[in-house]
This record gives sequence, C-alpha cells and structure tokens, in this order.
Amino acid sequence: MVERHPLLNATTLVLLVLGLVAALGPIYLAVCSASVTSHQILVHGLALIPGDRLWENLGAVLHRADIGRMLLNSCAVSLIVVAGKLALASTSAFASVYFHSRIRHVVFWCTFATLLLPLEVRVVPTYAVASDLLSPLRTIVEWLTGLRLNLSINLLDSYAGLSLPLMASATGTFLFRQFFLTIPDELAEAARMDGAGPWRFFVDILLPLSKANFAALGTIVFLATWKDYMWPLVATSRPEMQTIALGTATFLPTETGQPPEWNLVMAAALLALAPPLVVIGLTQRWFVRGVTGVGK
Amino acid sequence: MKASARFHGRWTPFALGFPQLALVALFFYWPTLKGLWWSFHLVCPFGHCSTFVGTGNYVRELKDPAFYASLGTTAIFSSLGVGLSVGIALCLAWMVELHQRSGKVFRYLLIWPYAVAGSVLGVILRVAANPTIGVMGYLNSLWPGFWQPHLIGAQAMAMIVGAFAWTQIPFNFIVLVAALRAIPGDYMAAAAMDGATPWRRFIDIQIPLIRPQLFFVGTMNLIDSITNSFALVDTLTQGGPGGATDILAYKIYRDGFIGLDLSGSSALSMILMLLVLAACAVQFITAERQARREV
Amino acid sequence: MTCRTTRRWLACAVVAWAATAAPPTHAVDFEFWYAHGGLYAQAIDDMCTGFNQSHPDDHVRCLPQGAYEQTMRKAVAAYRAGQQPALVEIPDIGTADMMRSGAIYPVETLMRDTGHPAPVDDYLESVRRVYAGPDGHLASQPFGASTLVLYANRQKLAAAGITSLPQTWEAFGQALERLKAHGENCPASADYTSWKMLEQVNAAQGEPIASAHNGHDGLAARYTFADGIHKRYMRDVARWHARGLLLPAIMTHANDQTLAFADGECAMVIDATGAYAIVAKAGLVDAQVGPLPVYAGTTHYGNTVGGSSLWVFKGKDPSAYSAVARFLAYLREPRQQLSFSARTGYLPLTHEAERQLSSNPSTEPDAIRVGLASMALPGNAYNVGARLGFMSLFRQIWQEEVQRALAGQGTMDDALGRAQVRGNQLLERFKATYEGSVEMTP
Repeated sequence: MVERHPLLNATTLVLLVLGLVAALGPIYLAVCSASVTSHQILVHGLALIPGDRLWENLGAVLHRADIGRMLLNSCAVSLIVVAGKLALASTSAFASVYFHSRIRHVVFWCTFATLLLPLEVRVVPTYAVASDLLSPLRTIVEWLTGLRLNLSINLLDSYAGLSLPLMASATGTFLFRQFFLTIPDELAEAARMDGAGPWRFFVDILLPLSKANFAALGTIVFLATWKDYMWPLVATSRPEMQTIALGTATFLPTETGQPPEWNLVMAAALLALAPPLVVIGLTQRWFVRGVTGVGK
Repeated sequence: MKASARFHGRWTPFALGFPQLALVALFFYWPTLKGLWWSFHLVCPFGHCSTFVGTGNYVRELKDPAFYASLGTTAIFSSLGVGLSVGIALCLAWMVELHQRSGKVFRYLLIWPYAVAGSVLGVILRVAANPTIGVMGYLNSLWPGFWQPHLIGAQAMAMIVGAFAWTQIPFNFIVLVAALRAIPGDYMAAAAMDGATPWRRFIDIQIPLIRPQLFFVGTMNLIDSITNSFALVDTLTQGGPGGATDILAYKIYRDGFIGLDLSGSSALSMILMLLVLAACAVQFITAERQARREV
Repeated sequence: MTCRTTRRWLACAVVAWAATAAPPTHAVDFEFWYAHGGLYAQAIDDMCTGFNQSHPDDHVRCLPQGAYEQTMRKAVAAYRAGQQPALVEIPDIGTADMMRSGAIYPVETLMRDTGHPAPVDDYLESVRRVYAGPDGHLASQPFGASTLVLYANRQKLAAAGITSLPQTWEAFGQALERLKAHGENCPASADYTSWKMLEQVNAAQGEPIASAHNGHDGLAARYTFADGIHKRYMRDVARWHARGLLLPAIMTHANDQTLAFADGECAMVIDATGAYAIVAKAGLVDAQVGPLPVYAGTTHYGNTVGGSSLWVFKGKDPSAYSAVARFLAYLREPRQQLSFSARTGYLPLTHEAERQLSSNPSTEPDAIRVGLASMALPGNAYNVGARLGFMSLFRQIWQEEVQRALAGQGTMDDALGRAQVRGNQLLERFKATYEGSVEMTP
C-alpha cells in the first residue's frame, strides 16, 4: 500500500470482517446447532450460541450411522481418484506433448472432449455403464460373432465404481500439459542427445520437476472428490459404501412423521466438513498453488 | 515446441496415453453414445423394448414450456451466481490488497469455505434458512410471512444463488489475490504519486491487468453453476417451489432417474451439450479476438 | 473359411469364460429390497429375522434402498444388469411400469407353481383390485397399505366449541374458521401432495382422475381431474391456505404435518392411517379419528389404498422361488400382518387378519378401525388406485403447478388445467413407449 488513511483502513477492515462473518457464519451456526438438544431447536429455534452437548451429539451420530465407515469410504475414494488421476494425467499429458507421432493429438483431443458433457449431465447412461461394465464388450462380440455373452460386471457399490468415472476427465491432463509446455525444450534435447528414451526422460527429469504440480493437483482433486455428491448418490445403494458427503443428507428426515433431529443433522455436517478443513489448513501452500496453477 | 525436443516412436505415446483413453472411452464416450442412442428412441425403463422416433424426443423437449422454464431458471441462476461470486471475491481480494497489515489473516481464513461440500452446505441451510426454526424465523416472528422460500420462488432462488456463491468465492478469491499481488508495485506507486485514488487505481490499473484471471474464474464458475449446483438444489429445494429452482442439470437427473424417462432426459443432455459447445466456441472466439487486439 | 473358424474359436473361448465366470449360487439365499427407513425399517428387519429363525433352510437378506423412487430406480438398473433381487418392494405409482416391464413373475402364478397357492379371495377387495393384473390375478403381493382419515385434537375442538368431527368439507372449513377465531395458530396443516389431495379425495368421492378406468383398461387413459370435484376441492384448499387456515407443513415447528398434529401444534390433519402410530407414540394429544370428509350431499364411496406391494423378479432358480414363496406366505400370516400393522400403522390386508384385529376392540387403533370401515363402504369403478405411466413425474407436475397457484401466480383452475395437459403429455409418451415397441430379448 502506498498511503494510509484511517478512514480507508477502517472501511476495508469492516468489509473484510463482514466477508469473514459471511464465510464462517454457516460453519458457526452448524457448531451451535450441533451442540444443543433437538428439543431446544424445535422449541426455541436455531441456536445462536454454542451449547454444551457437542460431544454427546457427535457420539449419537457416530452411534446411529456408521460414520467411521463413511469417512473411510470418502478417504479411500478420494485417495484412489488422486492416485489414478495423477498417474493418468501426467502420462497422458506427456504423451500429448513430447512426441512426433500424430497419436499425441488423438490423446489430447479425445481427452479434451470430456469437458463438453460433464458427469452430472450424462449421469443416467454412465450409471447404466457402471452397473453393467461389459456391455460395450458384449455389444462388440455380438456384432462380430453373433453370440450373446452372459457376462456382466457391476461396479455399483464398489470403490472402483465410485472412483473410476470421476477419473475420466480432462482437468489434470490440462494442468500437466500447461506445465510441460513451460519446460525449456533444451532439457528434452539434451536428454535425447544423451541417448535417453522417453521413459527415462519422463521418470528422471520430468517427474522431479513436476513435484509441486503433483502436490497441487493432488490437493485439489482430493477436495473435489471428497465433496462430490451426485455420483456417490446414484452409484451406491448399500449403506456401507456411502461417502460422508452423502451420509450427511441421510440424517434429514425422509419418511413423513419421522421426527427431524436437526442437532444430529448438524453434527453429521460437522463431521463431514472437518477432514477437508484440516487438509486445507495443513496444505494451504499446495492448495493455493494448485488453484492459481489451474488459473494460469 | 521445437521438433528436436520431441521423441520418435508411434507406440510409446499410445501406450502412455492408453490408460487415460481407455477410461475416457468407457466412462465418457460409451455413456455419451448410449445417451445419444436413447435420445433417438423411446426406451422402456427395463430395457426390453425400444421404438425409433427420430428427432421426436428433441422436438418434444423443444416444444415443452417446462424446458424453456428450466433453461430460463438455469440462465438466471448462472448469471446471478457467477456475478455474485466473482463480484464479492474481487471486492474481498481488493480489500486484502489494500489492508495488507491484517491481510494475511484474512487470506488464511477466507478460504475455509472451500472445505464445505455443496451437499453439506445445503443440509446446514435447510436448518439455518428454515422459515420457522432458522435464522429467518426471527424475521418471520417480526413480519409474519416475510420469509417463505417454500412458496416464493424468488426467495428459493436467492437461497441457492447465495449458497452457490458462498461455495465458489474461496476459489475466486485465491486466484484474484494472486493476480493482484502479481501486479508490479511500481505501477501502483507511480499512479499514487500522480494523485490517483485507490478507487481510480483499482478501476484503471488493477482490473484491466487482472482481466484474464477474472475471465478465467467467471468461466470456471459458469461451468460449475451448470454442473456442481446439483447437490445444493437436491438438498435444499428439490427444484421447487413451483419449479422455481429446477435448473437443467437437476431436471435431467429428475426426469431420468426419478421419472424413469431415459429418452427425454437423454435428449436434454444432448441439448445441454450443444449449449456448452456453443458457450465454449463463443468464449474461444472472444479470447482469440481479445488476444489479437492486445498484441 | 478362416473367418468362420476364427468366429467359432472365439465363440468357444467366450462360452468357456462365461461358464467359469458364472458366480456360484446358494440355493435358498435370496435378497429382498425394501423402501423404508426409521421405524418402518426396524419393523421389516424384525420380520426378516423372524423368518430366518423359523425357516432354517431359507435365508432372506433384507436390504433398505432408500425412499420409494430410489428403490424403483435401483431395481430397474439392477434388472438391466442382471443383478436384480428376487423380491422388491415397489410403490403403487410404479405398478403400471412393473406390470409392463416383462421382468416380473406374477405372485399368484409363483405361489401356484411352488405349491403355496395364495388365498386370493381372502384379500380385502379394495386392496386386491389395486394390484390385480388385467387377468384379475394378483401381479404382486400387497404389503404396506394405508388410506386417508381425519385426525382431530379433541381438546382443541371442544375449546373452540366444535362438538362433532367434521363429516363434510363444508363442516371442515367451518371448523377451521372457528379454530382460527378461537386463537389457534394452526387450525390444520398439510403437505400438499397429490396422493392426499387428488388421488385419495377423488376416490372417496367416487370420481375418476383419469379415463379408461383410471388407467386400468390400458394405455389410452388420459387425465380428467381438472374439471370435476377436484377443482372444487382445490379452490377450497387455496382459500384455506390464503387465510392461514391450512398451514404448509414447513411453516410448523415440527416441519411435518403428522408431527405438527402429534405434538399439539395443529388442531387437525388429514393424514394416512399410518400416522396413528406416530401420534400414539408421542402421546401428547387426545386424538379423535374420523373418516375422510366428502362434500355435503355426495356419497362417500369406499376409500382406496395407497402404499406398496412386493414384486418377484424373473431370472432366479426354482429353489430360490420356493424360498420366496415361503417368505411371502409368512408375511401374509395374520400374526405378521398384525404385528407389522401395530408397529407401523399400516392396514391389515386380509379378512382373516381384519377379523382377528377387530375381535379385540381395545387393541385396535382408532385410525385402523376407521380406515377399514371407510374401505368397506360400497365402491364404484374408481376406488382402485391409479395405473398410469410416469406417475412420479406426474405427481411432481401436480405439486409444481399447485405450488405456483398457492404462491399467487395464476389461479388454481389454470394450475389444474396445466397439470392435466402436462400429465396427458406424459401419458401419450408412455403409450408411445410401450405400444408398437420392438420387443427385445432380455
């Protein structure tokens, strides 16, 4: 800042504090409501100051639904997607940048097209594919041989089914491609002159250079997967396979006449948002870098 | 990129790209083809029958007032949501830039909402915005009937727009703060010495310089408003009241999954894909033209 | 030549693979998917446990699948992928789809094939008709059934000087006015659903909601409700709503019409017989139960039931079907029906169960007694439930249009007209989907 006006200072501070209140308000309200009795909310309305029953309510939520399992599922799915996406994105970006072959265009444009129809709007046929993974194979075999196969693999209610469709997107490939394009050509030229093959170049030179990108993309993908709601909603039917983003909603009353327990709903919401909050708190640097990296 | 920096070989890039291509083929192209096929047929939910109807499903959807209502809802939701989230994030980023002494604390805290999933926020707001027991309940006891999002479409829309902006602001904020900080200090100091107020500097220098980032966050928010708003709508309003929050992505889900209308819902998906394609093309052309002008 | 050899070789390989890949099946183990949570889910789980204990050779795995619509969708997807359960609970709105699915093994046929003939005549007529196929045979086994009755808070009515339960809608409206005048904040609450306001009310008035016998006669059915008694009723509802006599459920503290009555917040409610279990469990109000009102000067026809039924999917082993048949017979036992009914408020379904229940008036819940009496009234052709396609989408359309009218966007008459037009578009599409469609081998 160049100058210091007391008035300017005060105004900016007020606006920032307002922003902070708006940003943390819902989380605060959740903490308040999660720490009182259900009766108090129903009779006196939403709590505006925290009560003393937070641990009891959290305990009740943990007892009622298998929240531990849901947290585990969210972790497992998020980590699988992170690992898969990092591996696929870096190799496919490498393939789309560092080769003469026309294949690189195929790799790039075939991936690029996935941006046109996000999972959310092709969820019905994707669900049909996940519930019957071999249907393409069956169709092809039937077309070739006229034989109907009696084979099917159902990915619903499995970690593979929860994670694979989320990996099939272009964002990671883009991020790596952008980064690879900023790396000086001389590195690859030098590697080629030393007689290194593409794989050696990738492993020994490109990967070490991309460490920060891996961390950044990993953080973003982890959070995005953790927060995903639609795919787990449709791809799971067994309670033991549900993720925590979904589990929170299961505390809402579904049957008429089922008493709403808003305090437990809020306690479940807190359990769902705590782990990603910790991730953001701890990996602030990678996270910010990931977000700004996507922006470049 | 120089040709000498590229490797030869036909099969290596194929092998490297194959896992990604296979996954995309299985979970993107095949479902898309399937949806395309469904959109030209009337298919029974149980899959035992189908009738080819040509463009019948498209014609029907394009003649259905509910489609245009949903399209209008999507347009209102997206434009308000994007405007609000970019506007507020820009304002906050600017404030942090002006108030550098405590800016760091705010920079740290303001990104926390990024941790909150849309579905979780929706559930929290179900309680917090409830007309009897929520925060608005206090207003309703002062002015009975003031807050009725279950009845007044505009209030339900305001609710999901606000919630959507809330989920998007941290991302925009991070990008815009980084963009503002990347502006060389000399520019600002020189302008200040010429007597430019902070407001004039913001309008004349900072905004023009961060226009690419503004454009970028706007685009990202726009894509998210079409796709990721589903969780909010599903947990908060279920498209109501009276279809006031029935955005296209939700309608596709509802028709296809709850209503078992695979054909109509697939036709809608394809129409939405064309819209996204058109939006991408417009954006690409604008960006190109802008880049050319700047050169 | 080589081409054919290759094809044959490929075919052999594929067949061999298919043979090894086929999962081993346990003879008497089968899945039952149900569509309930909370109280109801516990009652169902307990019946499953009871069956598994009393039938050591059979084993049913009872799995909750979420709400009605979710269960239906999952059942469809599972069937398409060849992963269907043997038995599934499907809401009444899915009946039209299930009957045309080509995926089901009609219950009456199953019971006959497995040597457990169902005592079809023992089912209450008003229940049996809802789930009987065009041939008159039961396509599915009725399961959760309820019908609408009127609940009133005795003390609140007495305090407002209302001495008898309203029998007509006119009297109901007057009672609302008097309760309001007496300072009641919530004379009655409603969640404004098509099942309660259209389907049930029209059945009790003996009026159709759609032509072709509410769809029972085939695909040519079209909605006809917009001009009949439904218009009169919805005009009244809109007036009650506007004057704050009939509060939307979300405007009550409990956020639910049943709970708002059960905790004493609202004085009256039109609700399913099943609500009685909740009211009784809360034990806060002295509830008086009466039949669903009708308009003065009209006949009260027999009520119809809403709820769900159990469908058997094709594609399982004969031994599994024997086990399913034993499970269905077990669920039909009066003892199971009565304990399920006592815990959930659902109605008993057979004459035998009804006799056992009414033989002991002290244990028969009022709502069930009133509900059964309403159903026993002489019916006409229209208290058979609806058998119409895309019914869940239609219910959403009805609700959407009615919500708009209640919010003051246009009149109720226009809203019902639009709901009818949009509903008929769904029915036309349903007809086009099934009529003249190419049958594909499953």
